[in-house]
Amino acid sequence: MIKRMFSLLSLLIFMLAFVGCNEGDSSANKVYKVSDLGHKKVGVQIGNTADIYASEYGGDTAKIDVERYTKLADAVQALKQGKIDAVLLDDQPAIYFVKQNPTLRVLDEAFVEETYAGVIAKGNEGLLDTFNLALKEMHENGIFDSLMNTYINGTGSYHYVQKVKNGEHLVLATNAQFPPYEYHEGEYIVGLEIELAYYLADKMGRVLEIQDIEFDAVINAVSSGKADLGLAGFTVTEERKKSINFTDNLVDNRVVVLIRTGEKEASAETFTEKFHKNFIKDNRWKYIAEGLCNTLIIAVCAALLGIFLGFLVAMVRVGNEYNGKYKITNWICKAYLAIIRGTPMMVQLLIIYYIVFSSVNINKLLVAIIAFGINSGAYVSEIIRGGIKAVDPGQIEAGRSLGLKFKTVMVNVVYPQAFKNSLPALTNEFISLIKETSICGYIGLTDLTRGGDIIRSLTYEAMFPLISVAIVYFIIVAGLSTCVARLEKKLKKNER
Amino acid sequence: MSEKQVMIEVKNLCKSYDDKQILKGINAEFYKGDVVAIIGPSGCGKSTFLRMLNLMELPTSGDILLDGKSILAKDVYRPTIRARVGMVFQQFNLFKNMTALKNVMFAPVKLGLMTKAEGEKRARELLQRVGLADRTDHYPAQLSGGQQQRVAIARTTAMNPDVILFDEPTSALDPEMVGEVLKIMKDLALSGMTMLVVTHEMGFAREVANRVLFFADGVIKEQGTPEEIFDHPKDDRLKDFLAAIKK
Ligand SMILES: Nc1ncnc2c1ncn2[C@@H]1O[C@H](COP(=O)(O)OP(=O)(O)OP(=O)(O)O)[C@@H](O)[C@H]1O
Ligand SMILES: [Mg+2]
Repeated sequence: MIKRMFSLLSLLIFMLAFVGCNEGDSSANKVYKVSDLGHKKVGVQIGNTADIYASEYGGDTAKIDVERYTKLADAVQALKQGKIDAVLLDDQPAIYFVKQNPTLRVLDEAFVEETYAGVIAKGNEGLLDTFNLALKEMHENGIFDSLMNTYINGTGSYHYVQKVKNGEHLVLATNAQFPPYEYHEGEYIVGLEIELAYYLADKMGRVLEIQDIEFDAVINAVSSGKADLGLAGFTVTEERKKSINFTDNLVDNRVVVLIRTGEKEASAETFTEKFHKNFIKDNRWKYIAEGLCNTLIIAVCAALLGIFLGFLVAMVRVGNEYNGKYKITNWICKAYLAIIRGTPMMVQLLIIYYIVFSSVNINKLLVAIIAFGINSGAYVSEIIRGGIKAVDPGQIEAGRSLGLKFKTVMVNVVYPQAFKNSLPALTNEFISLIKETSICGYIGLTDLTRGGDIIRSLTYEAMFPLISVAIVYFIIVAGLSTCVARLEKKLKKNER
Repeated sequence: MSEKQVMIEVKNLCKSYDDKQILKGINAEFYKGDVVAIIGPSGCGKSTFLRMLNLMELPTSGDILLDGKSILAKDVYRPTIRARVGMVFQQFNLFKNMTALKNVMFAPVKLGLMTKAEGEKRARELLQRVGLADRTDHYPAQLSGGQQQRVAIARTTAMNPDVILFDEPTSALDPEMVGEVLKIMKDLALSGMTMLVVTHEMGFAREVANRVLFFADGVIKEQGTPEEIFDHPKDDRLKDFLAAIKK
């Protein structure tokens, strides 16, 4: 078993090395001006205004074939690989991407010009006024210009540091994959809008708490009260104004067209260089380590909660079947099973985070554990119920005929056998639970998958982070399967 | 016979499932030390009758008295009755997750009738008595059918019940194992245990039972000593039944 695991693993690593050397096969450029974009495949970030503009562009005759990505880095990756012909994005991130990738360039002609502002929930006019006041102050005292020089013009090195260290939090929702406005640098999230928020927090005497979540979830987080303020390079649009209030304008922005230069990558990085860039530099492996840690915590705690819930529900349902007891509770359990098994895990996670716990400030790990535990409980209960029903009911008869209580018989005779019957199916459930936790990024948790994603957004390199994340999942799952197989063998020994 | 002490008295016992009436008024008395064989065609309600005696099934009407007291009264705690009226099943129904020893000692220890040490000592004694001293640590799946049924008998005996009900205890066994189980039951009968045995083993009924009841059409059609029932049957249904069995 272990041997087989290793050989599979080495196969994976071999594939990684092989594909790694094969990369960088980009095709020629096809876009030379904005009007060339009609009928081309063009990447945008979901929820970004470029998405809206691109979808409306060209009327019926020269429509753009829009490909939507959750992360800009993914769109850029696709562009480099020749999967799409251009990426529409804001000019500052575009400059950053070009710096990172010499085989890309920006069209001189802008696609659209627009303005950025922050978002604050409707009804929170007090914060809105404070923000605008702080912004005005920053313009007057020169801090704003200094920050512009640091981040946009590249001519300064001024940084604003938060002064308030303790006290109430001011929660900022952002998507830190949008340089130079907000992005990861080492262990920190930095950027123009982040430092703006520090200034605001200081002015309010609060400590800034940064929540790094998916771009298309930021406005939601603010309007539902999960965050006080959203800064993620938001363009002011009429549509968004319906659900949220915008602050005064922060910076003017141009949506530009990023294309390939058509040249081959000058010197392909070697395997070791890529490895260094993805894992060693700036201790980037820590994203994977932290993610792995969170993934394991969520999976283990959710599995325990799931088994607990599952047992409870199974006991109610079996008790109802044998004795006709617990009518109402049984009905509730059935509703629970139907709802959980009838809706996607992702939707349940979002509902629990954004609706159930919308007004409480609760640890996200706990939210994930609760969401996955509740989900898993439904599947576990059906597995255990099957396991219980597979136990020959004659044993219950015999136990009761000896004067034992129904409950005593269940606990001492039926459940142990049911557990053993259910073990293979429970393992499968736990394995899918581990893999399902990969959607935690949607509530801004750095799980294993998102850990890899962060590296990906820093290095613009898909291969290493993705494959290494896959390998880590694989090792966990294979290790778990081996352990359970052994346990099963040991339990079976009793019965030959 | 008058000095014999009545243990169980059954009065006009009826049982229906849905609209179907299975038992239509059973009247019988069972005495301490009695070994009663119950025979009758399949589906006539023999199992149902036994299961009502230890309250695994509730009668539709009628009464059951144990030592003169109704066990159907509202204030009766049913597990206590079941502990006094043991049952041995056709399919053995051993606890599959427990060794033979644990099977025997589990209930008396759990119910607080014995300490763990006493329970274990008694379980070993009983297993030795049924010839399984060397199988104490085996799980049911590691035992033959005959051995399993002997463990089941030991398990029921361990509760020190007033009476043991046997529901076709040898019907699920391979023929070569029937003898070993019947021998244990005979020993038990000789030790003075009160036993009600539903069986198709006419040889056993004739040799060990002091009374035979013939169930048919939801009532006791005929009853008497083994000689009266087997050698001089009066009822036509009983004659047909005995003829069918002999074939
Ligand atoms: N739980 C139940 N629900 C409905 N009908 C039942 C139930 N249990 C038993 N019966 C019916 O009651 C009748 C008597 O069953 P019972 O098992 O007592 O017969 P039996 O004399 O023991 O037969 P056998 O010799 O085959 O064991 C049968 O017709 C059976 O179908
Ligand atoms: Mg029967």
